[in-house]
Amino acid sequence: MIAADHVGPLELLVIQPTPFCNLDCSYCYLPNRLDKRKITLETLEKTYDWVFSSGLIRQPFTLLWHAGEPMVLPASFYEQATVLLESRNTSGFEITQSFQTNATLVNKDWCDFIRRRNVQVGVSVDGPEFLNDRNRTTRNGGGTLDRVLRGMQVLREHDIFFDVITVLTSASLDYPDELFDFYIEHGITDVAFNVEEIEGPHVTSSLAGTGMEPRFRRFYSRFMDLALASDPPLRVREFETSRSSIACREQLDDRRTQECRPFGILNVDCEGNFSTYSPELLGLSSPRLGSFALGNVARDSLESILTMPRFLALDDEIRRGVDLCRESCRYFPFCGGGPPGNKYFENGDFATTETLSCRLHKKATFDVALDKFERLRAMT
Amino acid sequence: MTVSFAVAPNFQLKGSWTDRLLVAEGDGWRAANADEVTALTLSEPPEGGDACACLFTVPMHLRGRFWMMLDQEAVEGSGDFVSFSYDLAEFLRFKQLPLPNDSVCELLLQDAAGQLTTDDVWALVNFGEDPVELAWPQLRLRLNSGEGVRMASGSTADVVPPANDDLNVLLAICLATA
Repeated sequence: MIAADHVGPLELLVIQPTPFCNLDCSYCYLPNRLDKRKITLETLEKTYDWVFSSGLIRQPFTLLWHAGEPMVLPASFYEQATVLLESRNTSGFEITQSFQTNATLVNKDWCDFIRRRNVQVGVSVDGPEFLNDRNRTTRNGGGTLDRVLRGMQVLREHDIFFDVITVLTSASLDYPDELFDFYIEHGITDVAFNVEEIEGPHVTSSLAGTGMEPRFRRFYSRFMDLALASDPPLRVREFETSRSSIACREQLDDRRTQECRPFGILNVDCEGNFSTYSPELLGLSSPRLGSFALGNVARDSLESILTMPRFLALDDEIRRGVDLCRESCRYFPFCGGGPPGNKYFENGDFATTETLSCRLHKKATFDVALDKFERLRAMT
Repeated sequence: MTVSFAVAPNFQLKGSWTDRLLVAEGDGWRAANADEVTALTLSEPPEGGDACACLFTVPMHLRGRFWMMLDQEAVEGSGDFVSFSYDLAEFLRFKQLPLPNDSVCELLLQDAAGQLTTDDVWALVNFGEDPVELAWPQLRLRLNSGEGVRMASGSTADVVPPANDDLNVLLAICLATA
């Protein structure tokens, strides 16, 4: 059995209300995006009970609706889900609900719900049409930006703040100024960059080719120059992460990150099956380790999982991967270990170290941020 | 000499060549047809030279900076054209369209009576709100607001003056010999 102090704390609950997505983005890692099953209130009730009885919750605690387009279900469903959440949260934990959405289905009902329940919204959009519509398409290959912008406009009309996640591909790297213009033009103040990753059924990345790392660094450096010079500055998640990891370096030394520790994140699918570690693992399996879904909220207690050989093997491999990162990577004090999902999908093994995500999303962004901090310090 | 045109690598321009290229017809001008566009344009410029005219576009944030600089100059006399030119050069260098050594940026205002040519001009950017046309024999190129063109070597065009009381507002990047 795994030691209790190595489990949790649970800070993030990711619920997949449906695997279905009304878009068909070329880089998506979800294997069943045509599957229209939806989570029921009964499954949600069991999920909440599992979470609240686990003893793992630490605040701030976030419930993220994601992994499929959450707004495929009507806002009225989430109103019921919120009432249910409140009724099961007998300890009075402060819980932030968050939606990661493509925004194409946003309407007045959604805005009313978001405002009433103080829900956080993240919109997935990849920038101007020539970038966004290259990968973020409908099933017949049509572009989606018009619909996304319409959704963003509706959010703005209802005074709803949202941040944005942009997936960077090879094509994005020549266009930092155009991306910056896009964010400013559409009133976006908070941006997060993801890189096109090799995950699940998405087995290649346009960023995996030779010469991509210097191109990525050049892009990010240029973008950060623009973001830092803008008034007010455009907030970039990766830059803020670098800033805080430098400030909190000592605290990270002996701690596993949310994604690397068991039950730092709980991922639950529409049938109540759950996994932990990287959310991308949910719904996938390994020939060697079996399904990454460890159990079901209706049947399997935390205690039963902690003694399960499949979980113990998985945790051991992930733990060894973190140890390898600690031993071999000079960025470890600022990172805490690469995302297990990326390690598995790229290297075929959790007990490995560097991935594309490490090279670009962690190391390159950190180096650029450090360079900017030093320049800023020299100027002051 | 026949001028050919391409969009510079790493740039995306809105609209099509038929919106930009005009050919002489009688006493007037008409949009180039598909065959003429095919004859006049390249899908990408030849590597390592300036044999064709390359179109590019300046990002919105730099256009905003340009007008803010002019406002500061007009109101307080503090517009910093040198810093602006440096930032424009940085942008073009990022886009792998670096300015030639010792080139000089000049602000050009052209009224209806003004005569301008692209002699010794490496590139010209339209910072005005209205399109500006460059004229070669029998051929014109329309530059929309925020668009620029790096000239083909050995090719000189006239800048067509505005037809009304407006001004053409242009930034010329001139070669050192100018």
